[in-house]
Amino acid sequence: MSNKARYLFILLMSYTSIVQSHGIDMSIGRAEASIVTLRYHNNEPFANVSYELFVAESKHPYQSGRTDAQGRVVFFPGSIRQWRIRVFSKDGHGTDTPLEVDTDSISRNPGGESVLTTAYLVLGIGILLSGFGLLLLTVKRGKP
Amino acid sequence: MHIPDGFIAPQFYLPAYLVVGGAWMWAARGIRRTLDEETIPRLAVITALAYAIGLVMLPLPGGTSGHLLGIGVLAMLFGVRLAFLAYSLVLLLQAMLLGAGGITALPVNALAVGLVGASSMALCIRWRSSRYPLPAIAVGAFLAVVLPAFLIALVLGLQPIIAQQDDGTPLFFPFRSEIVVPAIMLPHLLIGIVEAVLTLAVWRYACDRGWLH
Repeated sequence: MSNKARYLFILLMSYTSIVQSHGIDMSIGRAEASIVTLRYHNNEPFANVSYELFVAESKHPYQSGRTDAQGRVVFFPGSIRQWRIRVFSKDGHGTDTPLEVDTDSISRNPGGESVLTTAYLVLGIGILLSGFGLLLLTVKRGKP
Repeated sequence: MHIPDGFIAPQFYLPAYLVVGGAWMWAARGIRRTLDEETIPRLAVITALAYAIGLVMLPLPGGTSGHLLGIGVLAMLFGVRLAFLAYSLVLLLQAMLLGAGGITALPVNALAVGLVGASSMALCIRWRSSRYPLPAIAVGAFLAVVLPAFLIALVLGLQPIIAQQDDGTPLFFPFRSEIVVPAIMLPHLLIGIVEAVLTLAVWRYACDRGWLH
């Protein structure tokens, strides 16, 4: 083989590798994922809204997209425990909250426990009424 | 309009806290003179009502949901200053107890809903006809929802402009005004109508009991 032919062969081989790098390989596997479920207080799913998932203090999203029809975000935390999720709907609803992932489950952030909503609702009304009650006492005391 | 923490940039909410602080001081001035044994229980009940109805989500067309405010009722019965203070208290409790709205969003919500909403209702009441007061009250209650919604939409739409990363990625709320304004305004037009109906019902009840002068 002449030198020219050799160079041509090497060039063609390298071109082939470049062409191959534009191909996409696909594989399907199974792994354990973490699922974040987002719902309104009335239990409606926070569906089809934009989210960004960050590793702890990172400024750049690890994963982004839209929640599914059930308001879920599925991700694979691996060994990383500290995460942060930002969810936005166009009408200004959403959340920006830290998540802690452990091997068994996801620990929710404070304030996310929908079970306690009714209790906090009643507590808020109690605080308001008792606060105004105290105000009433001071007004009465101030009058002759 | 429960904007959570992390949606509004500090460049916006820190100055807003200064403004709302001044507005709270203005509203609190002379408050003792306006409160008496009759006013305080009514204010307590209506404030509790505003707190509760603000947490009841009404399903709206398009898959979204919204809630009433009660600011029209507060302003109609107690005037701008008391309504503003009472609604600020409602927002604070909703944020701290239920995570409905953030502490960083509190000044924006308080100024928009508590001050602008109450002021629009108070202006409509001032200009009402003595023979036909209902239209002015209904319009006032409607505007007390729609105007704050518009302001909040503008504030949210500003966030991607005022706080970005070096590559232009928004650091806080990512959607601009052209997306946010229609997304917020359309549901609030419906909410405004329901709020007007509620306010008219309370107005009639208050008139029967001589609460309004």
